[in-house]
Amino acid sequence: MTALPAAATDPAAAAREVPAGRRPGWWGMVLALVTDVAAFAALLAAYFYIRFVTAGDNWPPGDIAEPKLLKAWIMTALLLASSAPLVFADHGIKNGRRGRMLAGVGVTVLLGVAFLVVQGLEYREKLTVEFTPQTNAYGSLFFAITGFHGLHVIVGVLALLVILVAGLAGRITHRHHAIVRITGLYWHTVGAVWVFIFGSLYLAAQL
Amino acid sequence: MTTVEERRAADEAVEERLAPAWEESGGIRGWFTTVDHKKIGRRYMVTAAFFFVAAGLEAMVMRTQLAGARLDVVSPELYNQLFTLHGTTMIFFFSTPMLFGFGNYLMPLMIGARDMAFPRLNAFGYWVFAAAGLLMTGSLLFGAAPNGGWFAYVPLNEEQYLPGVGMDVYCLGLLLLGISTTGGAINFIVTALTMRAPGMSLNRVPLFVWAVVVQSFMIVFALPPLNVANLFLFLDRRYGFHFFDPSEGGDPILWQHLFWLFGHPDVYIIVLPALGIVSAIVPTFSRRPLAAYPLVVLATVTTGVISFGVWVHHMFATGLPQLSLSFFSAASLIVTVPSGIQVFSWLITIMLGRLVVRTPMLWVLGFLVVFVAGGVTGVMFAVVPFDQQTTDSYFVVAHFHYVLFGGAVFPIIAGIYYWFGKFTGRMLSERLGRWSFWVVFAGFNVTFFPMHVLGLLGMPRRVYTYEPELGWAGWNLVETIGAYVLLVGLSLILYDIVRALRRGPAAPDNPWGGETLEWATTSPPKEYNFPVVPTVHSLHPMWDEKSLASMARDRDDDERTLTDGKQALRTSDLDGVPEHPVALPRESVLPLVVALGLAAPTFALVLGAPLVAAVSALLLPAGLFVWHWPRAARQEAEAARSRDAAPAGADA
Ligand code: HEM
Ligand SMILES: [Cu+2]
Repeated sequence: MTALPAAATDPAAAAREVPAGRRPGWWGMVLALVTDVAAFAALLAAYFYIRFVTAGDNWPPGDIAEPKLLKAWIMTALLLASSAPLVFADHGIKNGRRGRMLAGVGVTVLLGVAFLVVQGLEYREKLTVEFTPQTNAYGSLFFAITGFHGLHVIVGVLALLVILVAGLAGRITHRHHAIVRITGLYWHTVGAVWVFIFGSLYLAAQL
Repeated sequence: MTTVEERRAADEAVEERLAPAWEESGGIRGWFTTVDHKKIGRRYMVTAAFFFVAAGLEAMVMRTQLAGARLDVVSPELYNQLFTLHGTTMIFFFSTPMLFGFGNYLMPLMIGARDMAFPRLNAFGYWVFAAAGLLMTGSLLFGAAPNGGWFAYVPLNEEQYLPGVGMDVYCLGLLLLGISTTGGAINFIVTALTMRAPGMSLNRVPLFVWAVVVQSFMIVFALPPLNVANLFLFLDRRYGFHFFDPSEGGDPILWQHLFWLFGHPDVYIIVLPALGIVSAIVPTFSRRPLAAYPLVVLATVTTGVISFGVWVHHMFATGLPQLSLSFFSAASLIVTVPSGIQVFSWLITIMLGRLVVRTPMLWVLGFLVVFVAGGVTGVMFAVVPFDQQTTDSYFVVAHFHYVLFGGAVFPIIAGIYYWFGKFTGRMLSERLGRWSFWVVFAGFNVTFFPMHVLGLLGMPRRVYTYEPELGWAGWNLVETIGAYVLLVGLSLILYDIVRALRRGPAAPDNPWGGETLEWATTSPPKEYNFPVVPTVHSLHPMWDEKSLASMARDRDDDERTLTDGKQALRTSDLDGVPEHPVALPRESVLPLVVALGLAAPTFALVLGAPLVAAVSALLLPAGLFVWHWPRAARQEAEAARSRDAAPAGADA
């Protein structure tokens, strides 16, 4: 009998495949995100309903110009880039490297804040020269959707700051780091949702 | 045989070690800090019952006003507030919270767990619900209750047509409640997924637990559209947004889509756990396991899924395209199949078993009659032409009271009679129970059956009076008399409860010979529910010798008694294999503080004080910070230090 390759069958490799239960907190966050994503889906559905069922051809309505893309591209790049250092931080603390975790979380916070700053500039421009939420239904939808998302980024930045402080105080160790993993889950989801918002409110509005 | 005495002895052996870790403060302090799922569950039930009484009395005033033509008991303005608040309260603040109370109390007991997965979230959910209900019901005292109907159609409910704070109370109250309900639903799902007793694989999960889990998944998907709709409406009303305003590019039909995308699933969010109660009671009094358990589980799940595809049947009269009407009509007809499966499963169980009709079962039989009648008229609405004839008439009012009163209130009362001994340690009276059943059953049908007739005669809903020439007075008088009979019947139950609490006979642990694990606990259960975590060998642990024996046998097994602090057992998601103990949080005021951080800004916004709202909202991040501040690493280090200080080998 020829020997079978051992790598796949040794006990350690097999044990890796046994589904190990996640912590209740992890499941809790997954479900919270499911319902949250459903809320964004409802918001975007409302947007497309108004655009395609109610408004007809002229979109954005009235004499509002198509949304400019430069700032939005920057925001997208910032938010997508911000996920990588968080993954780095998560891996770091799993191996007990506190410095890596602090650095990773710190960079993510900076990128998140940068996103919010650009969003603030974008809002100022829109509100002063283009349209406000009170202009028409398009304005209402634009600010409700991006505002709701911005709120999520703010919450995420606050949560990451808590991790930063707790990490500095030595309260996050290689045995107790669920908070990093769970907050990461939240942050990545908020980033992914932004891609859909960017695609719907900015890119698709050019069509 | 494992005798009760053996189990008692085993329990006592571990109780001393468990009690200190699980004890909570009593008195006022304990009132604000408890995280015990049983106390919270009881609170949910009592508070929801309070809202039922309030909404019921509102209905009595309406029925009095409608007893004859052109009566003048209440003004038209007040009548609008009464029916809006009655509907909103019954749907949002009575049915779901009452069933959440049952779920909170029973789910951990039925799955052999010591508490919910997130006890503090549980306490938080209760406080937020109580605050939202207070806002909603309290508004009536100031003549500022919502007044635009329980589904708040626009444009009627926009600021220019309904000025005043009434509908702001509605939007914000429901948003607040939505947070509580969503948190509760997540808690139920995670609890059922991670905390089941060893051996309780998915095919051994009691049907009530299945029903609550499906309900919770439905909440997770159905509440977001409602919350978005209410947010939009609030922004429209208060801050001049234009989501629903056609003159500025908005669309009123958008409200209807968002609302009913939640609204139809909500019928099952209410009814499914109530059907779960029925599935718990029927086997006990048929003295046999439920017929076709896997089919009923599948039917429950299918109902949950399909009900997301039928919302447009509430909008058949809005002028949508013909094709979409046909599609939603067909989909609505299909929902009847899974409901039918459940009904036949109960009937077959009853037929094959040996029926013993005690009070809880009597209420279940009443439920079957009323609920099936409501289902029949429901099928009629799925047919578009019929719906277009009867929509907004009293036929609709008759239909949904048969479904909701029949499908939720009857099972809830059955559940109260069934589990009262477990909840309180006292038994309700069998005789009063039978009396109240027959009075309620008669009163219910006399009240609501004639509404079918009046609806077909053309009487519209939501009218504060009608002209004598229309010939509706006779039937209306009959209905009002029925409503008073109903009131007498329901009061009998209340009297029975008060009487039993004061001097009812003590409840045995398992008064009806039930099959599920809640009956293995004392009545009422200890703080930790199960001194020895049971090991489950079948779907009917109380009817199966091996499962029963495990609770006596494992008393010396540390992995089943978990006496090292306040702990519960994490088992695997699908097949219930023990993994490791998880530490549960002790009592805390944090849930109350964070709930205040939500409730105070809401009240302030209603009163038009955005600054106060912003400041009081700061409680929220502050409370959440303390709540989530990581402590485990520090605690572990301290535990290790004290171990090192102890003599070697004392505590390996
Ligand atoms: C306690 C006995 C009850 C009585 C006497 C009663 C009576 C009524 C009456 C007369 C109306 C019609 C008002 C109108 O259209 O002018 C009504 C509406 C309604 N009821 Fe009840 N009801 C009772 C229990 C319930 C229960 C248990 C539920 C739900 C769980 C419920 C849900 C509703 C809803 C949703 C409406 C519609 C409100 C609206 O039009 O906005 N009711 N009720
Ligand atoms: Cu429906």
